[in-house]
Amino acid sequence: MSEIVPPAEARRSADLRFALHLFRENPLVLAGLVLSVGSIAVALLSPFLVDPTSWQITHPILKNCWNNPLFGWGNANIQACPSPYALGTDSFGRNLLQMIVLAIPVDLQIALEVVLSAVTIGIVFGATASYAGGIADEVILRVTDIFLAVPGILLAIVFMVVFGRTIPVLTGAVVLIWWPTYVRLVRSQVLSEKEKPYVESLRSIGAGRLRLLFRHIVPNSIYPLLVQATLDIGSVILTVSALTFIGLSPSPLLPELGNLASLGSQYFFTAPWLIIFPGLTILLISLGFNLLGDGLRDILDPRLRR
Amino acid sequence: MKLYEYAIRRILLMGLVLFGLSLLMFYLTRGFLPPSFALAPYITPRMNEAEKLALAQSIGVATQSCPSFTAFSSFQPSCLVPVWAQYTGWLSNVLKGNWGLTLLPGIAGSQTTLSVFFSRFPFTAQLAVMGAILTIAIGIPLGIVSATHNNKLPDHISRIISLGGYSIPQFWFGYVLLIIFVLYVRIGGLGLLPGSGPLATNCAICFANPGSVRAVTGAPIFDGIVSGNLHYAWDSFVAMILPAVTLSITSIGALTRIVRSSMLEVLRQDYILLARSKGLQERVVIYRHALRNALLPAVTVAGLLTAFLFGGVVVIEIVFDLPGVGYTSLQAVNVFDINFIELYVLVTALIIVVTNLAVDIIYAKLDPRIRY
Amino acid sequence: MKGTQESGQDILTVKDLRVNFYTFAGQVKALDGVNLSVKRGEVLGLVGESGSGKSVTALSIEGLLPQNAEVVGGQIILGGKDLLAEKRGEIRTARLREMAMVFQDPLTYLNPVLTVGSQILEILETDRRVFTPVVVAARLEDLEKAGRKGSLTEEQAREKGRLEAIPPQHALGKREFSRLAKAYSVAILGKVRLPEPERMFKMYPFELSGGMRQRTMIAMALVRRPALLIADEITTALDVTVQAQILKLLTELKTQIDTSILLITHDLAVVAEVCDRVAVMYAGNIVEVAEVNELFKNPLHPYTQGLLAAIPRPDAVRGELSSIKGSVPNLIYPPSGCRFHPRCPSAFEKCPLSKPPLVEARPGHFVECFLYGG
Repeated sequence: MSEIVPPAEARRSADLRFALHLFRENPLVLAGLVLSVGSIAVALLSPFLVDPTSWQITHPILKNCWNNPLFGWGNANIQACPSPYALGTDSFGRNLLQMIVLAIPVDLQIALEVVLSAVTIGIVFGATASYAGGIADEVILRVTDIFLAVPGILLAIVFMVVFGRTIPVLTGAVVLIWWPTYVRLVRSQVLSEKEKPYVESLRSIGAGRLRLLFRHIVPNSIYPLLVQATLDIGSVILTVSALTFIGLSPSPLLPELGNLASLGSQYFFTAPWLIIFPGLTILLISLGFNLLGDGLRDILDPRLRR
Repeated sequence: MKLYEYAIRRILLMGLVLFGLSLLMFYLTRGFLPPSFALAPYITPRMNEAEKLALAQSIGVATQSCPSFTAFSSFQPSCLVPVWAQYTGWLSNVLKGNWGLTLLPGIAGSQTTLSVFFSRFPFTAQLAVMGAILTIAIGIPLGIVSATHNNKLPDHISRIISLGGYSIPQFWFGYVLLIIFVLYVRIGGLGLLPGSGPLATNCAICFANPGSVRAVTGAPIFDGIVSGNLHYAWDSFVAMILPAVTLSITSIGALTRIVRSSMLEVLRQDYILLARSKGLQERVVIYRHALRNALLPAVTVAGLLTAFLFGGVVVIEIVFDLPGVGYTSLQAVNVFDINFIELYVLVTALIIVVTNLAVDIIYAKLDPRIRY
Repeated sequence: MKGTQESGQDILTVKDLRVNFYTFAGQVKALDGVNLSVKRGEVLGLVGESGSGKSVTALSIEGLLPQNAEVVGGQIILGGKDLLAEKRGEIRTARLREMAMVFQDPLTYLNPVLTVGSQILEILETDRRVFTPVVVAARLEDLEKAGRKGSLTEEQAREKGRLEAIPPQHALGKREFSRLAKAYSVAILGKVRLPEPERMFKMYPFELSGGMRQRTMIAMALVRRPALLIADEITTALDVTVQAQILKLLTELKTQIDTSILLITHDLAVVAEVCDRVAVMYAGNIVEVAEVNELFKNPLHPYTQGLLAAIPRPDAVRGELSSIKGSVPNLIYPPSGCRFHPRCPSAFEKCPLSKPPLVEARPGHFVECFLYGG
């Protein structure tokens, strides 16, 4: 006779079909999920896969050798290792594959710390700026202007020159690069949320301003932050590895992807694997998080839900 | 408000930002590093204590009432000039054009920060400009094609390029390009493109003996053209191909994404429907109606892209062994040469801020709604 | 610019038009066999609730359906050609010369970064050959008026001679065309009663009021003298007083440029005011078509009766407001047979079985309802 399907069920299946549609249109998002979750898994499992102290021991005799039965590099200068190493050895004679496995958690941990700190600072200052308005807002905005006027790498370089080349300083330097973006993001989100009718109605029944800010406005502004944070994990790893690549790391032995690559910069014609594999790892991790972030943005963007 | 009022307001803001930045840099470096670092470029080994003290006082890090150099070196409070006072001294010097001396090797024996910096800077500028040209020439068309062929093959290809560019470590990309084009793609026994250095003499498409040029601008390609030595200009240009491509890959990725999403947004608008219903050709609809609106948000990231380019030169110059300020800044870092680093940061910031200003003014000109 | 049509006949004929939309919730059968025709020189009103398919019909005629829509059957005959069978280039030409559409909300339909005048000018510049006669005629008319007031200058006389000597099918040179086209556009802005047309030409859409923007859109249609003008809810976003002005303008222009209008609206008052005939649309079907007075006096279809009964009357002292029970159907799973039957007070066994055919219940008065046969 008339309408058959009850509306709630139709809506649920519509959502499911939309999600499937997204994955079909964008198989890359699935790839992103695999890559990012995979790298996190490797990071968590690394102490069980590789001896965590093995990066401190050098084997000068095994320097820069390659003995992978599957393929060679077509370059006559490559020394052969006594026993097969999957990805050869680095300039300190260490097993490159093991070093990479040790390096992934180092990079991911730094990236996570940076992003979390930046998000927190962003929420605190961004919400304050937009909610308080007036002078506080102007001052905070100008300060972000100052930081955004400098290319990130330079800012980090200056910071590390002054405070040293340790991991905490490296993390702090990269946070310096990222916090203004989050302040601005949170600020613009809060500004647009503030104008919405539900805020006015909550105020009219007497909701306090701070409570309103943190219990209502901030949670509703979360989605773009989440998307940006996921994307930024990839970008942070790129920046951190660039910084260690140009030499700003605590020790040349440190298992960190950019650091491993920097060891190979002198030998790239004779021992290209020293740069190729650490760099490839960086590429895959950052690709994974970028794809994931893009996919999240597509899913969470209300305007595309049509 | 009128356009020029808007411009003036932005210029004042720009000055404020640079001032704040210089303050921040100064406090970071002089406030947290011992003053001996600031003194280092001026001291020669043969100086005695009295001369060193006089020097320290003359550059404003030691007070006039300081009894001896030893007292100064052991950080006695009466000898140390407070940082804010140092800053005012520095600022007045800087505004007169005196940026002090640097530890780095300069041209013809001159050691002033300004001269060392500006002997290298044109080179970096040349690289950055080439990167910028590539970014715009590839990024914008790729974004447009991607949007107008949404979800079809050109879109997928362009999304892979843009995502890849955005995710790729620049140093790795540089080395990969080097390996491919110098080691593997070979013509007549030489790699297709040169391996390193600003002047390419041993590659398949280079001239072996380009000769020399008058150093007019400091940027080899221009100098070559200006001096009439086209071989030199060509060789310099060829040497810049891989570095420029590597440098711009990140910003191409970013620009393509922005243009694509902006175009997609615009193409959904009602006025595009009206334009089509008026019987206008598709070409007119895309370029006259859609693009003009889509590029507006895209130009706002010009400042960001400039930051990408000028940040990237540090890594690029190291990978490709180019004598620009990025490479030099690394040497400066290793010897704690504060003057050079400060100048570098402030010049880069100036470029970025001026770019932002220009972009904002262009935006205000293109979008009539902004000014009201 | 008119295509070929015979006088007194139909400008537009839509036969059995079926359109589906493909969404994540399912297939929306938006148009279920729409039949209508617009006669030369008339104003046909198309009424219905939101979601009944009025705009979809209009967009189908223009060939501007969104990407997830598909025309699955029917014909749209304009100027002797079936638009659904034409190639893209032909359809674009039809949009330029034979039909024009005016939309509901002029703020979002005008490009915000281009001046109003340039958005009119670009239409003319799309095809210089086609529009040369029009702009030349306009200029000659100006010169004529100038000649009658005083005498022409030598330059004007020379220009007049040259323009009169232009053969048909000739396209003016770019620069001269632009000059004349601009003058013509300004004149058109004047024809739609915009004040200070010269100044208005250089203004941006956001500087104008809603009524002025709507007049601009009408000017864009006017400038190409279409055989068919489709007006999609053009007064909905306007104040009542401005509404009246726009409708008056439309009817005047209709006679001036000899066009026929398909007026889409949900407002029966507008229909009563302006239209010659009315078509009532419900859930993707045309359920009733008649002359205006005939429809208001003798509504035949139960839906039309419900609509007219629902209009609140100031002279009714007591009683509830009457309404049609139920709600608009879900077009993914539309009712079987006659789509109105779940809400129809007069429904009987035949109704859910099949879609009723269009019958002429009274002279010139058509209904799709089993109550009247079929």
